[in-house]
Amino acid sequence: MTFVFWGLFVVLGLIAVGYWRWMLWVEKGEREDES
Amino acid sequence: MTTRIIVFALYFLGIFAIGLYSMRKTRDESDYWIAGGNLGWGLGGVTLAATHVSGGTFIGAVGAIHAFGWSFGWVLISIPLAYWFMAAVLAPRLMGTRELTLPSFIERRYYSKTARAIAAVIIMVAIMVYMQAQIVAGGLVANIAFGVPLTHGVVFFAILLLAYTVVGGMLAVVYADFVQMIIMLLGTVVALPLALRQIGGAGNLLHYAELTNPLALEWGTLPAALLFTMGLAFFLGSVATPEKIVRLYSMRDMHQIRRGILLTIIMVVTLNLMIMVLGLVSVVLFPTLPTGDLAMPMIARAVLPAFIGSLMLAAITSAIMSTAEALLIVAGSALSEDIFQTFFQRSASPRRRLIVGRIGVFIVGAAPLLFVLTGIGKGELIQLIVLLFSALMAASFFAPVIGGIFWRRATREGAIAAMLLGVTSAGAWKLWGAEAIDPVLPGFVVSVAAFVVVSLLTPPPPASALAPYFPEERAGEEAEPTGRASRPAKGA
Repeated sequence: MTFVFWGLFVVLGLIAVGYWRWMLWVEKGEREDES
Repeated sequence: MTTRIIVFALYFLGIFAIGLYSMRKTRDESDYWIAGGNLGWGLGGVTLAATHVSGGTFIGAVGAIHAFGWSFGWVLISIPLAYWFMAAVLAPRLMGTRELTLPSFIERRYYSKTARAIAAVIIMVAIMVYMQAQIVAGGLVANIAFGVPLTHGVVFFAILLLAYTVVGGMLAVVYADFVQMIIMLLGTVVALPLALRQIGGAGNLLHYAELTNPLALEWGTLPAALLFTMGLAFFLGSVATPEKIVRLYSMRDMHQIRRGILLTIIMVVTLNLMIMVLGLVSVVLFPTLPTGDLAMPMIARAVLPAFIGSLMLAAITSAIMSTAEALLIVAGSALSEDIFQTFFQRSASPRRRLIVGRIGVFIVGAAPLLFVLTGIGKGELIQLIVLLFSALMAASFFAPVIGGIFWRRATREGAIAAMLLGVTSAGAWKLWGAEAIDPVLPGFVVSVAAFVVVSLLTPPPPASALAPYFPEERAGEEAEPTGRASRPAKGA
């Protein structure tokens, strides 16, 4: 029961953080390509 | 009642002022259809989020939690994954050219005005029928909020929606989305703790929910296979739809798109989670509602204080309007830009094109209102098309869009076959297929199969059609330019 409820918050939070890290990684790569 | 009238009057006046302000800033069709292609991540992310959040989120999602329990919430996972896919896979190649509409991309990639016309007709017809349900939903909110007859509510809602969208175009829609998103977030953030207080705080929520409905917090109501299928349907229905793609075209560059999509993910997920917790509250407070769809209006009217309840009803109106106005722009552009301007009036002045654009938006907005008022399409058909809308969009456009930017061998004939067979098979499955499987899946499978088989059986596309989307083709294209130039962002 607890996992069904709280697990969703955790999984969604992890996906959002994952996206944010991916975005920074891509932008870092673009800056390195430009320089 | 007085509080409700004041809240709604302020809301409507604000939205109408936005329409007039945007009209003064709209100078050409690029402003009118894609806000000049110059949006930063803030406005771009908000407009994408507001388009995503519809009346279905506020009423349908709460209803689903009420009916299926919390396990339905796990379908949410498909939403951030769909947007991640858009940012990482779809947008970088799609932005190889900045178009005004999705059918315009179809024409350029598939070197065919016929393919463009087919895409435009599918978009226009599906949206015009879908709009009927949105207009009726707006009328229902007016009915609940003010007790006015449904017909009056429907007419008032449609006229207001048309007024600011027709005059202000995409700019008005973007600014209105911003205001509407604030109202949706504010309404939900304020309502949530007040609703939780009714059942003695957040700590009691899980306990009472389980006591009221033992399955509310179990997997039992939705088996994993069904959850996965629904999630896949959400995913396919979220990616490569015309109203999302024009929002990518509206943003300045990939940097803004990636950041904007992060904002979209945060807003859509947060809002959905809060609304779903409200759904769980409704399971405890109103366990015997005849339909879960009544849960949110019940919370707004019976649980919240007058002002907050009015704000919540304004939030529901905002959710319906933000999706309806986005669809109105897309359908209007399909009629005036992709059909009328492409086939009947190719060399009109910018001013004339803008006027034709406004007439197009007016027609696709006024026609559904007439259909509703005259009773055409009443009853099951509307409900059928609402459920089908995402499925039809995914079955028509997923293969031609994604395949078009990643598969060099994709041909004009393949794209036309994918759109026509995808849309008809999804529709046919809804009418005669098994109910346990969402029509998006058979529609998607048939569309992809037709796309691949027909493409392989027909001559490969010319290099000029591939050049904007496949970097390795560009060297040849630069030596002998045949394609049209991409549309730059304004001020870029």
